[in-house]
Amino acid sequence: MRVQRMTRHDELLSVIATIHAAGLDPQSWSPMLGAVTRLVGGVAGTLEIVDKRTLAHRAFHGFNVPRADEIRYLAGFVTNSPRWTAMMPRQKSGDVGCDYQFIDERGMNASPFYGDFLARMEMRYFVVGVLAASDAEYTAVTVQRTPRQGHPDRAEIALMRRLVPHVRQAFDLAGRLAEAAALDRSLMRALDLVADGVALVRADGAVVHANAAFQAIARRGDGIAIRNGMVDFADAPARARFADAIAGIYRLRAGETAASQSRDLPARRPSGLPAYVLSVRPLVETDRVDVGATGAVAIVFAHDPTRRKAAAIGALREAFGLTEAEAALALALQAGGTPAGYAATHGLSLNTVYTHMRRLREKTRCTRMPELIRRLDDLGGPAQPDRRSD
Amino acid sequence: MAAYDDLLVTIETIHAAGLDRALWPDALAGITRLVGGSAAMLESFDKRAFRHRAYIGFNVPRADEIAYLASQVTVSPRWSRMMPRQRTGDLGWDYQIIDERGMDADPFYGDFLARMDMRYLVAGVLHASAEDYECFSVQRTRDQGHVERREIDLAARLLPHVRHAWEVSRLLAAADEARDLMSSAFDLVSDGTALVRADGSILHTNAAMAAIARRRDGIAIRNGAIDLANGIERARFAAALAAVLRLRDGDATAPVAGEMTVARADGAPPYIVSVRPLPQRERSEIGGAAAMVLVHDPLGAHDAAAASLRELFGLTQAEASVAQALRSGVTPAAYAQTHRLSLNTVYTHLRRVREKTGCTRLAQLIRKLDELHPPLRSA
Repeated sequence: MRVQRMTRHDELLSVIATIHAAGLDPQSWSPMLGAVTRLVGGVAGTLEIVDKRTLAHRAFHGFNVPRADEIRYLAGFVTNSPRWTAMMPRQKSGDVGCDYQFIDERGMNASPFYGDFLARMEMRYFVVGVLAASDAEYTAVTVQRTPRQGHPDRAEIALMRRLVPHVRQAFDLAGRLAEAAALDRSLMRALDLVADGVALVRADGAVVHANAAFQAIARRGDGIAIRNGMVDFADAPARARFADAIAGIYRLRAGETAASQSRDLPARRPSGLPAYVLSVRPLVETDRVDVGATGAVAIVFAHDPTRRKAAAIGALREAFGLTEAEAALALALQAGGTPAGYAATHGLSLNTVYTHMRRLREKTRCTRMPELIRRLDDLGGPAQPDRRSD
Repeated sequence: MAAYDDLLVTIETIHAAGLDRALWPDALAGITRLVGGSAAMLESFDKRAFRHRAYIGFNVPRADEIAYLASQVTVSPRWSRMMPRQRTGDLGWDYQIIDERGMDADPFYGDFLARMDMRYLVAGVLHASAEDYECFSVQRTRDQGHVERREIDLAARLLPHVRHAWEVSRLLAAADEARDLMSSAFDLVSDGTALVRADGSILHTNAAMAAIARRRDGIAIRNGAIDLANGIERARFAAALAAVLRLRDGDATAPVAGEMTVARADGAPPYIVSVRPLPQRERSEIGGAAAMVLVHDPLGAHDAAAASLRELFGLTQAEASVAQALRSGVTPAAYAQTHRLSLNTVYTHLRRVREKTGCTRLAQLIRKLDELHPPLRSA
């Protein structure tokens, strides 16, 4: 007897370990339900998230049951199931329930859900543990039993009661990790839409993460590169100022309040194009000495002055309804061109150019030149132009 | 049976600590009671740097309060003899490495531990490699005596759960850090940024977006979604968002990402709002953002510019101020008047700005100032 109890105890502990392992790996929900089913004594197991208002499943994991989309249960039967109509509304998070709480054998025989639907799958009884219950949503783990296995007895219900808190914890963990992954992924892709290069950098200059624009700048190799995982510059003064800026941020984190907060520095380009502007800023709270697992201490923005205008023109036309000709002139003026020069280089009469300019002013509601130029510049938000127009 | 219930309850508190780091001392208290001891610790030790990465204790002095960590650790037979031979998943106790006579003669046992009324331990190794050593341990007093079979069995049963929960703590902390890194990058961007799910609800906003919404002069956040004050603009925004989502779902006929202006109540220059789709790389990706909404505030952008202008060109405060005013469309004469300066002084500033930036013409200067202005918030 004592030996038997010990084995049962060990089994329970091993099932608990299996449940928690499933929290880290959504692929193993089904085998985990198998372990729970075997321990509690049943023929199949499920983990279901139900939208209480529509009675539709938001998620369904099963062991030894037909797939959610394969059984009519989910479409029609669920709405008539006494389990959902009589039991679910009164259950709270953490509750453990069974059929006899709300129906007897005679009632089951008369119910199409029990007598027809469950019978066809050779199921009749269940024990259910509620993982979460709100007005909107119901999440539960169930073990299904055959007519032969009979209604669960007290020991089996007690076992389920032992397991439910662990399934809840594993389920919470899986949800939190999925949420964190979704947010991380979203932020990373959003960072890729930023027109400026963005890199997260460690105290030793190593790049922890670089967005698409920063990688493109590095690949171009026109003054800024990533070499051996480190930001590197063609321009010696830029290299020195950058190292200085990162060191300043590290000292700041170490508590040296006089250390510089942030730096902006130009990085000259061998091609002769306007220099990149680098902005180095400290990451997160500066009073946190411990750096996280990534070790990132600074964020580096690399701004390419030549890129922004190309991105701005599409936005410009859309925001003010400019024609192609008007937008082209606007760009030229923004770049420092004169109306006369533009007319000459584009083979236009000065009159035509002035007409474009008048329309530009009307459409943008700017009366004076500097104001117009400012307005055009203001439109150059930091978003990348749509990829299809590249 | 009662002991078995205690074991199950303790295992539950261990996993609860995995989900919430603040609960580790509670879990260690449960472990201490279950195994029978006076204190417990959870330690993550960096072997190369010879320092703790993490140290959580129940009923023990704080890590920085005991000399143990600085000097005693180097002389402890536990560290010198027990740790090197232990593998992940091993259990350790004192009699493996030392007997009572040895303890009495050893300053670590006889002096340091004795002062804290501790003598024996049972430890479970969560992770052991060339770089790291992570373990949990239950400490016992001289009266409680050395652990026996029962205590070692209990520690063995707890070990896989502590390992798992510690791994969960680590994973959740790493996820938090990744989020903090990315979101602080966005907080530095001067434009308001919101990541929006397919149903229009907001997943994330940066600091600038929160500030714009607080201002309530055209753009607000209501019920977790972006809301525009003006009905026509609201409809345009909804259409832009819908178009972006269609584009994301592979509808190539959907119009290219929307740009629109949003008028402001106080007559300030309108906000420029851009909506961009966030690519979904795999069908299985659920729960993330579907679009990014950028709100550009022409006024706000100017504040940040002055500091970087001064740093980049070595402009004085006065010169940077004139440069900024020109950028904003103010004439030198108007600037002189509002700042009670002579027109001559303003022209002198302007000449120096031109010299320092190497621009000869006004439009060229304004362009240069704009180009060099990174889209970041002022520090």
